[in-house]
Amino acid sequence: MKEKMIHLDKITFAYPGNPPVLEDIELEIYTGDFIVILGPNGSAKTTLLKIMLGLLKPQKGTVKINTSRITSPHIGYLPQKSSLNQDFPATVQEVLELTHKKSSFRNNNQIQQIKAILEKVKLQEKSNSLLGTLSGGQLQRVFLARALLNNPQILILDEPINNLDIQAQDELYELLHNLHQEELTIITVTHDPDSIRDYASRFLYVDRKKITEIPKDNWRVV
Amino acid sequence: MPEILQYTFMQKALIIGLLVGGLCPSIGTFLVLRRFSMIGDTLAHVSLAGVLLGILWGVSPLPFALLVSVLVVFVLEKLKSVFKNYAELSLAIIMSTGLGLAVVLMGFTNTSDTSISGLLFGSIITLSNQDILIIGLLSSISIFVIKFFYREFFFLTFDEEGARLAGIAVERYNYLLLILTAMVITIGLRIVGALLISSLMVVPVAASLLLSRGFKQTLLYAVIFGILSVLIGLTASFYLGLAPGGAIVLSSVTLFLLLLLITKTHH
Repeated sequence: MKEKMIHLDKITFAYPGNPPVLEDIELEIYTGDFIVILGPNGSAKTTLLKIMLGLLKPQKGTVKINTSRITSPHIGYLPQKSSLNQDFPATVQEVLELTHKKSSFRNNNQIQQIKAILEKVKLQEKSNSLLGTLSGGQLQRVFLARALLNNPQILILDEPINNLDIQAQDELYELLHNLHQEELTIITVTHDPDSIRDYASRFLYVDRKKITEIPKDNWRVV
Repeated sequence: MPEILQYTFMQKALIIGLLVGGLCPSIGTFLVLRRFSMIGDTLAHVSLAGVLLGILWGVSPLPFALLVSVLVVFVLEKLKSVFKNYAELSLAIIMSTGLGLAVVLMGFTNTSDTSISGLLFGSIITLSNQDILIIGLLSSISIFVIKFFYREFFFLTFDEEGARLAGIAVERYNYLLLILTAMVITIGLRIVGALLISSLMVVPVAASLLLSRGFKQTLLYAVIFGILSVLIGLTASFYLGLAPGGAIVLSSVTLFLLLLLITKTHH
């Protein structure tokens, strides 16, 4: 039987001084789910992800992960590309060391893990490159590698293919597919459900403060 | 021994100068990359008002200036929550208040024109033994804090949300970074002056960004350029009779321009 990974229990969220953007949300996510979240601009998709991550606190309701309250090490997060400074003067290796749990104790285990993650995202040659010198697709894979450090059980991605060319999109989706095969639970927001359709297990539609689950073959109706 | 090292006041100035030259750009690296360069200028103006208040009330000026700056850091953070989308507006308000207060206080204090100009543009002859002691103590604390919380400051600077997810108490480290900024400004106030100290937090970092191949390198180069600027500036100040603050800042700008020229030609 599939284990419940995340449970959003009657969540209501509003930004200060504004009406709620999500109201009475009930959502259960299980081990091995590959969830695609769709919805128009401004429909609170990112807000929903941030509530799952514990970055935003709902006014009503609770977020539970593995039946305990949410804690970060279980979840890897790839934020929207625009929210990160892509010209930051740091190397790929520095960014990954920074995110590693035992960052202050640089040891063999850490170096090996970072090396393995870089191989997984096919960036082993780029560990000493500055972020600003990478292409959009490579940069996105660095941030994916970062999200995969510390062995997350759940991977949350916010519009991961935005501004990527077709080839980079395909590479990223293939990578996500492989990770899903390795039993990682994946939740992603996207505006392009067509290309991810074959990999996804559930489609959710966020609009007008509510979440609706759409049958996999029927998402085009919305 | 070179003439510059034969005078006690120059020895003191060089010791403090090296501390200021290293500390300003190390804090500056975090501030510049957080797009928060203006905070240095703001806190420097507040410090100036603090020093003058200290003189007026007969209390030790440097610790008092630090106290005032730290209090203002908390006011600033509160003000930022009022103007959420206009962070620089809060800085402008605090900076104007600091400078306005300083100008008014100058009229009340009995300090000479030389001391006032020393506060504004830096001076190498006004360093008392008490100053050295306070500056030494504040520098040691600052170096320890930067070394100890390097990862937290780096994470906060690179990705605040990611830092929060990694379990870093973002607000606490934000305050710590700003308090550290206030400390470093207090350290540099005497020698570089209130109007110029923030340049030493920014220009060496700009120069370093031209060369850097990573974050640690950016920090290291910024510190090297900061120390070089102070050494060149103080030497020029001694032999040519220039105001030390101005000479230090112009040295750092010259270094920056030289590097810009070299890197542009190289590319």
